[in-house]
Amino acid sequence: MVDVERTTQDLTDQFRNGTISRRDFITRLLALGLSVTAAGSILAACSSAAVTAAPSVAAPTPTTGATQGGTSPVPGGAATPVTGLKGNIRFLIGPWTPDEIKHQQVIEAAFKKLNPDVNFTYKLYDWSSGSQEIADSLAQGAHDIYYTGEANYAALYSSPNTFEDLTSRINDPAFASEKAKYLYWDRIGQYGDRLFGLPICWHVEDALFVNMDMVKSAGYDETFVESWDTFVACVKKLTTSGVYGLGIGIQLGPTFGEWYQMLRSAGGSFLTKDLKAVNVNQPNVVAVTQRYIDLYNQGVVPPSGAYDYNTAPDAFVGGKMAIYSSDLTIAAILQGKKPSFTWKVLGFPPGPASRANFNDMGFYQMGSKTPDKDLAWEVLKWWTNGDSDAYWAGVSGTYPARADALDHGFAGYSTQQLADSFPMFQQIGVGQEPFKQWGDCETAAEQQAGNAWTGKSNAQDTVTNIEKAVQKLVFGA
Amino acid sequence: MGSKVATASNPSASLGSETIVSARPRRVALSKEEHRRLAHGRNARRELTAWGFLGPMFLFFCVFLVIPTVGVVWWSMQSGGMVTGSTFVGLNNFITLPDEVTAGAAIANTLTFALMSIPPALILALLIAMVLARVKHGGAVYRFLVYLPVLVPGVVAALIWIFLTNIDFGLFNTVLQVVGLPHQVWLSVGNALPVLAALDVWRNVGYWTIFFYAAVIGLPEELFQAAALDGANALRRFRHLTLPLLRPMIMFAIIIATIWGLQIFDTPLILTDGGPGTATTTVILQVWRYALSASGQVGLAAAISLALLVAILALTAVQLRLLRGRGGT
Amino acid sequence: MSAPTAARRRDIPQAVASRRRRGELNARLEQVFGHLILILVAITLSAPFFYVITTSLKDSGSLFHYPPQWLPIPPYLGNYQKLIFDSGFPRWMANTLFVASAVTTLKIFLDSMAGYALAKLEFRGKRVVFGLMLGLLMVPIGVLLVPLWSVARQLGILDTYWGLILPPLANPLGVFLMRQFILGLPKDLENAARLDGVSEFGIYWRIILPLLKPGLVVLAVVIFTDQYMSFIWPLVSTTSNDMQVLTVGVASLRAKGGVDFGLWSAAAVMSMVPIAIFFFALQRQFLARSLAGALKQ
Repeated sequence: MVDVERTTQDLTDQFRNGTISRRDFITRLLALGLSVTAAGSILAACSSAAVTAAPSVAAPTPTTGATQGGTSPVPGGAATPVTGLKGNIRFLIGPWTPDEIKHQQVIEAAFKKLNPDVNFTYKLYDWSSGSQEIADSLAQGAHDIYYTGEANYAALYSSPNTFEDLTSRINDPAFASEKAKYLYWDRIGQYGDRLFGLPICWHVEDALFVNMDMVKSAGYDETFVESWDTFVACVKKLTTSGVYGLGIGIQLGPTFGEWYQMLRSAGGSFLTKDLKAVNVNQPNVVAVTQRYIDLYNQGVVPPSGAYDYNTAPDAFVGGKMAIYSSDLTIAAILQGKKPSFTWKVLGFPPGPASRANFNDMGFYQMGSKTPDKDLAWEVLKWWTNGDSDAYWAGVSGTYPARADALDHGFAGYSTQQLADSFPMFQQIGVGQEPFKQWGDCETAAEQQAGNAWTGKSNAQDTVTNIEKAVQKLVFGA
Repeated sequence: MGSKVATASNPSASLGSETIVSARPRRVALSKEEHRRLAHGRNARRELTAWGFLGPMFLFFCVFLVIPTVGVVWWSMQSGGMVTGSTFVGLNNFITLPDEVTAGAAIANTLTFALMSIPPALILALLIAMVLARVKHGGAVYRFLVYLPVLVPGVVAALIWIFLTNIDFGLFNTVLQVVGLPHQVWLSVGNALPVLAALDVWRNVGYWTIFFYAAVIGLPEELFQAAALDGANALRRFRHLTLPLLRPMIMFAIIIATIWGLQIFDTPLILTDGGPGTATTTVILQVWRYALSASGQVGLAAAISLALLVAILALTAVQLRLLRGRGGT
Repeated sequence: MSAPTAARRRDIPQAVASRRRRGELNARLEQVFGHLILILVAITLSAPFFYVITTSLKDSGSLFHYPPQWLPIPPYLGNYQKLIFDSGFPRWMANTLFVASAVTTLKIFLDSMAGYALAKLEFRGKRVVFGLMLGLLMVPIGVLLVPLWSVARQLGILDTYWGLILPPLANPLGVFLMRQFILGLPKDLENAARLDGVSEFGIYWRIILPLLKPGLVVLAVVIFTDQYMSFIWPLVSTTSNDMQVLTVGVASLRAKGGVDFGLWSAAAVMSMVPIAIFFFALQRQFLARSLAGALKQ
């Protein structure tokens, strides 16, 4: 019999010495039989600098759910986990990290403890051609479980017979208590009465990574983002020779730029709430666009093209940018680079109407041609339960769509900075609008916004062009 | 009569009926029938043999080149997605194409890019080839070094240029720093397309250098010697002898380089992903984006592809006419 | 002879000699000048390679040092280790070499046979076929992406080796190259064989093909190089990680956040190695590759 406590102690020491990597540490802890939650808590304890002695683990802690047997804990999450299932499940998912499949296999291993006769295969699609690959696979029934970004969820929502309609399963009273722990049902409900997936994550596409040491020496603390005036004053002060105060417009590709959240912070949106008219060309929207153009003109923002998604992290760590905007996955990358300063992840400052940071959701969905739908449903529930979600979202650098994520060890798997900002982003988050051309509108809008940032067009023209583009994409005129 | 008789010295003269009719008329009638039947058999066998040789290649040619070319026309009149189903919209895509901002930018960028990258590449190549032709030793080493960038796949070349152009530690800015000049933002909106053109020149100049080099060393030496004896200096020899003699090669190079330049895709994708904004979005890049977009704009993709296809076919026709004009083929 | 003429005749050898010496000096200056230009050109064109090689031998973390460290001493091999053992690179390279070899081999036979037919055989529709191939010669795959993808999908060859190998076989450039070569071959052996009653295939196999060897090498070089560098079709037609070819795999490095310049440089260097070796061995044929399109001149 393995002495769990002693082995955990050894592993912890090895991890803190740097002898084994974080991934190995997690894997071995889980192999010992610890629940996902317990492992996460240990990780969180290891990461916090205050702990000098190794954390004590009395016994593997089972989470909510029935315990089966003394020493083999149940990495549970569902009210009564099903056992003894048989079959094959084929995943078609997007690669959040290079180790995507390995992370999936950790979740798979926990599932297989209860259902050893279910076999899993994973196929990764390319993000840029993902929508085509998913559509193709759905047509042929080639896979059972799909990961989709919200843009795909929306685009395929009204395609008949592609994804399996899960409405009755989700609204089943037996699922109600678990359902309550998921976030953002209201947002999913925007698309229509039918529900086609379980949410797994929500991702802030443009958050501010802030060099807090620089901010403090400029005389501000983290509240500087809470008002536009302090924000501008601070970034101006941070801009010195060789250092840019604010790096925006850096994300890879023309989608998910910062302009959409500027639009929402000004009280605008692509379409009105009833989805019948375009709602872009408002004076506040023009004003917000102008504010950021001014920052470009004052040299606070590096010119477009100076840095891109790949080169920006090094520049931030090297002190070339005091603040820069990118998606949450960068947090893990920055942590890996071990910057010599304290840094935080904060939200964008308010616009005329409110603070708005855009986030979009990720779903796990079932194909309508899946042979064993009950099995697939169990798999869907497992993959989105507290343990699995906290683990997967944590290691993938995104936020879990669960209210109880922090209780399941999310902080340990993710970075401290992301965990700290979880509630804040939930508060100020805004999502996509529920029409299928949203993704294309966003692409067109960010391309036009690019012209504003580079001085090719002024604020009013930019907004007018975006309005025209949305009009054309949605209403065809 | 003489010319009609098949003799050893004139084996290709046919046995016309005129020559034999006086001898055996009945044989002729049969012979004619037999001739035709034999000819048919031979013809059929000959056709079969020819297609036996040509067939496999022609099959692939039809399936993967001819049919898709027709397909472009068909798809350009559709709207929707490749897999999610599409509907027929006639010429709608072409009518709305000028309004499509990104499509317009893509076309403008591609043309600008061609203008910025082709003349420098060809001129440099010609000059370097001239020097190569005159230098007596070490030609092979120079040719190897000059040709090396041609062997770099486009995506690798773009990756290399990402570090070269890095603001903080790239080679270009380091050189500028050493010389005392300020750092440049190489991939900014204004600079990205010229940098892309420079990348293309870097990659292709070796190819055309070797091309012109082979042409130059193939020129008759005597002409140049005669001109030199007549007192023509190097510049005059170049202008009045070399250039005219090389004219067909130069025209050929311009057309081929243009056709390649118009298709540029991998370098803008990797270097700047078509950005910043749409500064380096080229036609094929935009086609690729339209074809893969979530709500499916395949029709637009095919419409622009068709426009490019027509341009390439036109250029091909021009080239063929130029060749035929010289009395070739 | 008058005295001035005699004097002039005495001058001539000296005059000629001094002119020849000036000529030699000019020629030598010209050589030096030429070399200088070529050295400058060679340095400009190959500088990026040295930069990439040195970067590949550095640890990525050290890239932000000022002043920049020019020579990596001691050389850091971690990037290459990571590339070979911890990335998809070996698979990508294997895929590319396999596909390129397969296409080259198939094309050698397909194109020489088709070229033979166009050069030597008569058949109905020959003009049409010739014209069609000539017209579509320069049409690139990029323009045909949408319908080609559709065709490949219906044939079920997407994301397979067939899907990578079959479409490139359609390019008619090789056919014209072969036709040109075959037309230029001496006809005696062929005529003799014909009179002897040898079948067309026999003539092709036993007479033409051996004579065609230098042309085949040029063709092989052209096709192999094009396939090695092919990007857009493999990008569009393959989706699995296993099926990625070199160009697609290297491009995928770009899509990850947080760049690892050391790894990228190592990948760039390793990508060049096979084709550089290939080039070194077959320099003359590469020269001919530059002329491959000029077959009608």
